[in-house]
Amino acid sequence: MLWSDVLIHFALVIILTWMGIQDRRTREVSNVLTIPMLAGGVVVMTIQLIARDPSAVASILIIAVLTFAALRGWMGGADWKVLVGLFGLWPLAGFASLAGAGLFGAGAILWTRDRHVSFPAIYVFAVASLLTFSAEVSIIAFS
Amino acid sequence: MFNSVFKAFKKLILSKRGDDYGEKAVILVLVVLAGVGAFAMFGGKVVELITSAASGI
Repeated sequence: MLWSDVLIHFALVIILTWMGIQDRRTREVSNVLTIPMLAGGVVVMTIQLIARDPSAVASILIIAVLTFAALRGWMGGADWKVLVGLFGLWPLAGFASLAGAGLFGAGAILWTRDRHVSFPAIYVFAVASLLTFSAEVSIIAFS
Repeated sequence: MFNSVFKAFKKLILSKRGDDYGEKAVILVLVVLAGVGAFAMFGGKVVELITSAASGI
């Protein structure tokens, strides 16, 4: 992994933290932050697809599932935009965020005994991305 | 049909809502994990199909 990748991931962690704080406070996230992230992810994924990168195909298939779910109202628009952006710009953090949301959702169901409990997902994405970033940096530092 | 899909996408892109639901988040993770597993098994063929379609476009 290049140091430029680390810098990009660090910038993404900061933006996600900012969005996570907004989400936790108001349960809404500004489009000024989410739409550029969506656009960036789509552009990067398109470039990777043209370059015939197999990981881009996997990301596109996951995004198709997420888009179907979002159109059916399973998640907020901001969650969908952030996840699509993450799968384009930093797929590992995208996977970690999705898994983190699933784990948090399972924990919230057990805690509240309510299957339909809602939670600020972007806050969870920010924590998952921060953990992913910490793991990346520690691997670089100790390798 | 196209108009309603366009409207749904426009609504989704402009939506600021950041809520996720417990049960649905769990189902999504399971679906994606199953999809990743299937992709790991049959991924080569899927990649071949999609990249050939993309180069066709």
